[in-house]
Amino acid sequence: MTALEYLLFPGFIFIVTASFLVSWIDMKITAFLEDRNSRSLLQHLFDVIKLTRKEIVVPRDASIVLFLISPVLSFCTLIAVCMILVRAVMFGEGFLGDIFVVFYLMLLPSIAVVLGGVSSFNPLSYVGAVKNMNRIIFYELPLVMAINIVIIKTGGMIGVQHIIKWQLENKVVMGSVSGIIAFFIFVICMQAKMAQIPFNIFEKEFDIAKGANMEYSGGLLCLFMMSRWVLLLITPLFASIMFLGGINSITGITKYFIVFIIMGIVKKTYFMGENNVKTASLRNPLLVISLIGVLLAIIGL
Amino acid sequence: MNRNFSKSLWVYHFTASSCMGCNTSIVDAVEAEGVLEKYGIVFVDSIRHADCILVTGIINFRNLAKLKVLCNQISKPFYIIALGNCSLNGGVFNDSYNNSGSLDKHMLTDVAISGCPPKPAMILMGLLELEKKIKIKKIIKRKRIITRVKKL
Repeated sequence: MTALEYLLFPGFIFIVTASFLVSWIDMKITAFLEDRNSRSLLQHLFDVIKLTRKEIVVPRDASIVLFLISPVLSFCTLIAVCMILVRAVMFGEGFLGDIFVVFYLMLLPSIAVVLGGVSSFNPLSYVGAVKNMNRIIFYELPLVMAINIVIIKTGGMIGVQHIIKWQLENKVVMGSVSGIIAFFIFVICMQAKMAQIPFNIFEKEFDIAKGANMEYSGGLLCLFMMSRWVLLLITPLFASIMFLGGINSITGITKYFIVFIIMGIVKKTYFMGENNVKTASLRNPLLVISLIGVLLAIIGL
Repeated sequence: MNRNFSKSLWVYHFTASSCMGCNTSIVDAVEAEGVLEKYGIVFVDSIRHADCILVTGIINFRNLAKLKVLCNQISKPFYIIALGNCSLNGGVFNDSYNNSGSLDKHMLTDVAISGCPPKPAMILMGLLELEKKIKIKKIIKRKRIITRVKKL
């Protein structure tokens, strides 16, 4: 890869612009469902430029290295994930076992939030970090199971481009019972990964005031915000690659937006139903369902 | 560059011994079909994220010290808005033994919104007035990129 590719396409500028657009569409959907006004298209850009021009305040007792590194770690890993996925979709390039690399790298932003919370040496940030760790334990195992189902269904493919190719040649994973179960688990786990409602308990406004991100300001806060928008871009992309056979054509892009809208509606449905869902109570049913899915996939259903 | 500041204003609400009338008005303004969000105005939970402090209620001797601590903790540059008659001139609590005077007496106030309580539309107008003021001002320069202060 050349430096231009790292910078332009499918690099930094492409990913950041696309994530701005996607998160704006998400806000539009939310505003439409709530029947209210939403932010303008350039609002993210205004926020980012403003935050980069503001002062970064570091608490006196904080571990300064960890405090400064965590947001950078969070953002850079997500950019790397996005580049791997976009290259696999657009150019059919990749390496053996890159699905595990993607899975591992997607865990790091959540760990970075925990590190940031702990390093800032604030009691409320501690509470946020612990709750965030709880969230990670909740969603990681069912997510592994969902990805296992895809690997079993595709006959042991462990490369992103191989999974896409297999689905284009045969049939999509969503076309089977175990595939539908895996997609259902994946959507719920990804809601937790993105810290959407009701899994945003670690940053509840009135309880612990943004939790782990409480002490962050200026450019560092901006990096955390941007990594959340990039995650919003990646999640439907990852889902459409794993379960619907990639987004190579115009119909593929429709697949992306269908998954995107489904995730948006799921988020709002949770909100309309019950605000304070205990995430821990969801873990065991999800694990059982995912195990059933794995068994079905082994049988061949 | 000031345009970015004026289009994205993050507000931290500080309640200094208020009767909660102003707070109810703020809730009404925030809930008014996302009008504030349309203009890039967001109420934040942590002082570190904020660009301006919205002060309601009379400033007594105890919370004056806390307000000064907040001004030290906030990420610079920042602005201060006085909301309601109490923070402007003491309002109905003017004769109180604990009244330390108007907010303007202690620190530079950028915008003052009068009313007891002010209407939600007045709050929106005040916030937009601040955005306009920021836009006209010269380019803001921060003193340092990274500073270390006491924990909250």
